[in-house]
Amino acid sequence: MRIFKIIGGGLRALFGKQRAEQELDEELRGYTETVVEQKMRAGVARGEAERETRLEMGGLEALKEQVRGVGWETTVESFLHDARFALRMLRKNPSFSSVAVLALALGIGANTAMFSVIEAVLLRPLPYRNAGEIVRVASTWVRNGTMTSYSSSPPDFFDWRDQSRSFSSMFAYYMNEVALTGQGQAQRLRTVMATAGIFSTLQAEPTLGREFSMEENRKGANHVVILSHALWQVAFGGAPEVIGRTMQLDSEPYIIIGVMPADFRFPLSSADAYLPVGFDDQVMTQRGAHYLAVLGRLKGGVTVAQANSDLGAIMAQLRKLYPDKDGKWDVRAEPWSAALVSNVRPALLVLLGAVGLVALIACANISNLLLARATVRHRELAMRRALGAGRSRLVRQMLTEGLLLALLAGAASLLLAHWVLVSIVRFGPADIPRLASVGLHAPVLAFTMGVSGACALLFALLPALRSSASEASSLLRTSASGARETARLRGALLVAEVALSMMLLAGAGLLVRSFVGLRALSPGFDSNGLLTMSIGVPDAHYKNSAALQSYWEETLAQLRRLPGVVAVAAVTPLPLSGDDFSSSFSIEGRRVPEKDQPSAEVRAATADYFRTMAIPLRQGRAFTEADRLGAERVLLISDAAARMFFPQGDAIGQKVRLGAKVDTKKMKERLSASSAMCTISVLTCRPLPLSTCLLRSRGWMP
Amino acid sequence: MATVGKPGVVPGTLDMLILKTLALEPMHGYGVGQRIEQISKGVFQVNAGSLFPALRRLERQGWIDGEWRATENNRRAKYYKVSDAGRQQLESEAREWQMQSAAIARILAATSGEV
Repeated sequence: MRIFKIIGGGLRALFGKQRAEQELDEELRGYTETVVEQKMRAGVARGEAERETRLEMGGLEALKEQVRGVGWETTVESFLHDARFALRMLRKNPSFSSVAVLALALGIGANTAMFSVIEAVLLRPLPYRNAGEIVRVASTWVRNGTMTSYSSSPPDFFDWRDQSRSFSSMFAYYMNEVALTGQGQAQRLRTVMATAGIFSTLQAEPTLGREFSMEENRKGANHVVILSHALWQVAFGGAPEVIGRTMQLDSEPYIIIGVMPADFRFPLSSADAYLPVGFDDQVMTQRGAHYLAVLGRLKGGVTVAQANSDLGAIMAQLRKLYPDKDGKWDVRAEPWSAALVSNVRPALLVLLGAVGLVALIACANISNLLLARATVRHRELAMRRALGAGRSRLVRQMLTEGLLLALLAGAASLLLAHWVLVSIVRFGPADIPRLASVGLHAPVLAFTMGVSGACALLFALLPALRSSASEASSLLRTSASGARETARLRGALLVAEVALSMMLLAGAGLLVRSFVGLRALSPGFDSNGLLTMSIGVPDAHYKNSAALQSYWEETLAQLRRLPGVVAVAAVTPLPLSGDDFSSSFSIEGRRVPEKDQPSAEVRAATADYFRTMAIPLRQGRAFTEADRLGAERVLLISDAAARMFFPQGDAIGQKVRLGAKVDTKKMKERLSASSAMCTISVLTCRPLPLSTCLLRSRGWMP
Repeated sequence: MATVGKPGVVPGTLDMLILKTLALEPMHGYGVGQRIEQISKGVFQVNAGSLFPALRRLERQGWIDGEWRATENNRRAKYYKVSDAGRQQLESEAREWQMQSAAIARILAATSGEV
């Protein structure tokens, strides 16, 4: 209660200033008159009594000042006074002010922009209820002491889900693309293929309809779909009777069972629809097929470490039961928010450090300018000192000037940061989660204020202390030793500035060198004039390989007829796209135990692939139009593979058996990991349903 | 700003003395000074330079409340009275002071035999 009175009294004094002044005036006048009257009553003449009273009371103005000095509001008042004075000083030196504000705005703006990114990507909680409880569970593989996380296989996931006691729910998913047809123009949808439990783990419910059931994760029962709010609006005009209707996905009917809320995003880059994975009866035998991402929600009070030891025990059991498939795998749970950003976090923090240095350099710069100006303001300060201003009063005045400068710069920096953020969102890398949601939000503004304040302290304190240091008398004389000391200080600041700049320049130089080095690295093909285009072909339409082959032949022939196109080919997966498919293989005539078989990255491509990519042939022949279904299967291997497995140079004509059947269905599910990875490209000539078309153009294609 | 020749109050006790005086009866600034001088039999004199800042301080702390009223000789004056919080403050300050002054008195009265 008392605190309110103290604050209230101060506020009344600040805003009802005139009234308070009047009251004080009246009170003191009354007091004076009473004293005079008393003296006259004792027999002193009026004039003499008044004189005595004045002597006793001291100056009336000084007394008032003393009374006003009680309470916090005078500090505010003197600050406002300082601020007004500082503003006048800044206006009087427009060139100094604009240079200082501009330099600082650059420094602070870089920090604001960088912090906005960090706030959006690293600090902001994920958009799910109790998001802190969600952990990512990944299969891990330790090689040469470094642990790498991979997707998980369905049997491993089921065992974790059913045997662990640390999770209230767990689900697995992978991303897919399907074609929506039968509603005007065909449309490609980004879909999440998930197991039941996805929405209970994320603690989100459909606004309409229901979520998946366990039974719908069986092949054949999985033709149901939950729409995102956006797709519901676009494709169905937001009609509530959409539940129970069917839609054609990849030419097969799917029943719409639910619609998610508008603010629901999963994954963070959002998807158009959610479908249940349809596992077939053989699913439990596919322990080596790692293609599922797994998320779980921890039970209340369970720590990540406890979950890890729980999962670790289960995995140890699985390693014993399935030494072939699980022998080298382990499992690791980590908070999802951390797992999402683990690869960008260090880079962002390094960048924040770098822009922090930029701000420091700006501060050193301004500090130097202020010190130079202090020599000019020498007389003004000396005069104020002589008139009775204390040192702390002068320091406060100069700090206020600094703060005003920094706040102006902070405001200007927001403009700069806004432009930077717009271009970061437009041109920034696509694989940083939530980068699109950066903006000048409240925490960012608070950060900018804080940085501005800290900058003000940094750059203004030294000049303030320096120029208010000596006594008034010596300030009035221009002292040679003082000037020398200021010069020394400025020199030191300059050295610090140059040192910081050198650090930044060296860092930036190294970065540019690495970048140039990366650019100079040849990917093995000529990417100039090469265009890519993704096509998904629904299974239901092209039921057998012959139909698929004729589809591709026709499509490629049509593309080849486009003006400007020199060569056309289809390939899957596209090199350097991040998608890959590996398979173990054996070479005929060499006996290797199954679990020690080498494995290789495999691509399937059409006849003209090498000409389209401009990949030179070292030995043998490239594919021809004759290499088609029914003909003898052929493959090409990379240079590196030839050197590694056929060091005598006798690769041509050898027979290789690929372990996992390069089967269209599995390719579509993007099996990605296998038991012993080495990156060797093996190419087979076969058409597949999901391919990337490559077009080599003459000059520029519109 | 102390007036030459006239003793001020013991440093740090002015607030307590004002509170005590006002606890006896609400009063204006001049009256407070007079009353302290009277009760102390002229030992303590409070000049305006310490009195008014002290009154402002006590008012801000919420220990006394001011109110404009007419004086006995028909002049408007600001009368101060002690609030409940002020009364508590006075009690604790008085207790503290009595303990301290008793201790000081014991020390001053000590003879070499007692040590």
